[in-house]
Amino acid sequence: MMETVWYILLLLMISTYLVLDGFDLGIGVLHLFLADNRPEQKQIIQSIAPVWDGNEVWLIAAGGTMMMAFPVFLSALFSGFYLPLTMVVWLLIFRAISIELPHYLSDSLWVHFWNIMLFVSSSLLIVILGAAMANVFRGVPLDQTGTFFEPLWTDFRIGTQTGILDWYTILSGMTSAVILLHHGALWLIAKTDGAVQQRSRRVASWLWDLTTGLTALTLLASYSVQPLAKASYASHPWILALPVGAILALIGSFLFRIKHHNMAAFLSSALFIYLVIFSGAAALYPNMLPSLNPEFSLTIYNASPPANELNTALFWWIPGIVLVGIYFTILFRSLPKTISTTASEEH
Amino acid sequence: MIDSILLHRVQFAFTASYHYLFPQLTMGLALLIFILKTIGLRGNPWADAAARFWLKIFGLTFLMGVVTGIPLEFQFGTNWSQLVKSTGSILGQTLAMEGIFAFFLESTFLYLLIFGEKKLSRTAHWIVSFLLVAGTWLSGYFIICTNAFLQHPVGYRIDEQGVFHLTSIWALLSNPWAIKQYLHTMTGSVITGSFTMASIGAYHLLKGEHLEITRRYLSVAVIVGFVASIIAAAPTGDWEAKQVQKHQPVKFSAMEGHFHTEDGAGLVLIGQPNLEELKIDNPIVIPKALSFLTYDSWNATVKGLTEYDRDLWPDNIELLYFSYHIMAGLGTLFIALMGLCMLLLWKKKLYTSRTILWLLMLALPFPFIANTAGWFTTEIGRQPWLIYGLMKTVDGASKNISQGNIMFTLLGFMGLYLFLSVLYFFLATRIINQGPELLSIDQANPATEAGT
Repeated sequence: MMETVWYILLLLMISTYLVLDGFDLGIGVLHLFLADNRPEQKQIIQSIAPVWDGNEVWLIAAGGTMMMAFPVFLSALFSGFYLPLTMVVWLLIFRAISIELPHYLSDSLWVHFWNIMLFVSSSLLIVILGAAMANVFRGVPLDQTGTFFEPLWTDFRIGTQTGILDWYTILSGMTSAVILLHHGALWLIAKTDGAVQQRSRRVASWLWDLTTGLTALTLLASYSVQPLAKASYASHPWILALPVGAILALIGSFLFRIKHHNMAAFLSSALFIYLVIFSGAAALYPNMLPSLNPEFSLTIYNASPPANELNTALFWWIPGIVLVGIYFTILFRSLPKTISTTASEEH
Repeated sequence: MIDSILLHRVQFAFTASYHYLFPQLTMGLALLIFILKTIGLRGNPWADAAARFWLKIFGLTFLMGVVTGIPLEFQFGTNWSQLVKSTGSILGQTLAMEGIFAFFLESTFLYLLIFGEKKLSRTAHWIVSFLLVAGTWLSGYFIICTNAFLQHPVGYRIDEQGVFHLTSIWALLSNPWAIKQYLHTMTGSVITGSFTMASIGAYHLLKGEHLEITRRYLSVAVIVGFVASIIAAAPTGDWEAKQVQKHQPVKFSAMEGHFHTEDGAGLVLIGQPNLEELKIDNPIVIPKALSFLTYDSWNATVKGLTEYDRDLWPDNIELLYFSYHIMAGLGTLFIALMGLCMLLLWKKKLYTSRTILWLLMLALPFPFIANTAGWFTTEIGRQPWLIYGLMKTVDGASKNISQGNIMFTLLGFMGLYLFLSVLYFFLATRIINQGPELLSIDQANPATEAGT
């Protein structure tokens, strides 16, 4: 029971990370195409500059929580994906400095260099995030020692010899990229005005089409690569509510956008991301990291410490997260409602 | 296999040491900025101007601390997966607490501190500066607690499979080792903050720039630096040394360069450890001082390294010995330099004595060296244990990663950090050369427009 509680809490933290850092990652990619001049560029970056750091803390806090509640899972996952995760760290470093450093110098080459770096690191990160989750979902060659080490790629097919990159994980990477780009565009529509807002609206429209198409494709692919999914949805049909809810949220983001309920459209997209993650997790439950040999799969039970330890952690975790809620309310309320090109000049 | 272990260790040591150059400055500066804001609150515009200037350096340094801190959390899982597998449910508690209680606080209130001066009331802005101290200092506490469990494990039990379980979260958080180590480490961080402030202040005075504001914040830095330098030696340094002697006697003997058991043991000030002959070459020794400092008695017996099984000796006694002596030696110099500055401040000659200003300016790197040497002492001294007395370092590393992979990431980190160093020095120099400016609050306009 305690294991399930912590599994849900961990999923909530990971998906909150994807929802929050998701929009600033998406904007990290979009900013190159949505701005025509320096003031517009600043306007876009200003919409994420105050919050990206706090958003990213969700990843760090989720990592700590994962270590505490599911140490065996973290140990297998991180050492198995040694190379890609280390590269993720490098990309996170590049992205952070690309957001912060341009403002120290107004030289146009300097600014341009960091903008390109922001684009490159954000694009790679959003593809990798999706590919990483697809790897976990598809399963890895865990052996009796509870470890694995996968090559970066093999022949891109899924069989007994899996690589980190295969057709399925690449497809999922692309899907996560368009989902987060769409999410970022919706944030810009809600927070900016003028030409940037209009361009974001146009981009969001075709990103929505892509999101819908690729999500459908990935859903079908996921259902076919992971037999656990069929079994879970067949034995507990009520969890179908999660993917159905996700589809409704995606439709919601479309309807709200065309009716110019901009914040509602963004929140719908956030709900969509939450429900996609939970749909995937429900398909695997109680598995956390399926092995290609089911005997060695990590579940929430064999990957976690005894329940009394997990119990203890809730006593500080709950007040902690309430505090975090208060900080985020203060922070997001302190942002201007609309960031325009003139307002961003003031800073 | 032993070479993989070495690579895992070098990578963690490199990334952790590099990372700690930044937080030791930000934790110290956070306190100094809070002191300046407190003085500013009582109607001293120079203090607000100085706080604004130092906040710019704080912001850049904080960013470097954030980005170089991320790899450390990842490396627990990537490089030390066996450690995580057996102790993750304990170490994860303090690491998760750091994220939830400290990082969210810092990320939120740093933004409000940098950009809130125009929007917030003076008191609110002052409170925000306090919250930033709380965030950065809390962060330090959780990390020291995590380290303290490795140095002096408490509040756990070990099951049949060798997995560690937490029996008392309170014991983990109030680990007596953590409390003493925290006080010593934080004092070290305040030394770094105040020496950096004093050094850059001295630079401006020597150049004859920004005199009014600089003279005043320089005196704040000197006072804080003097107090911190003394506290670093006694009581906190003394506590820490006694605690090492009590719980990790092998580390203690090795760092003191004390090979043979003696009554009335002398304190080695300078000399080179000679492991072939088990003695110190060219020693300068204060007779009986080691006995006195350790046991408060001039003739007490102090056990030497040869009392212990050679397998339990740290694997790099030379580096351990020098790290400790560099830290302690520099610590003594800090007291002397800041003591001299206090004297000149009292005689109102500090701002005009060019010799002392030169010394202050050139002192900039030394607190960073002393703090790094302190960490080396702690961590190299713990070897061959990863968890003291319970788990060897070789048993904690990931076993499924080939040497080539670790070498690849190690080189990657080195290249990346070289790039970060160049950027940091370039941008910090620019901020320093611009110097502080007296502005009214309406004009307060930080150079950075993005929050970190």
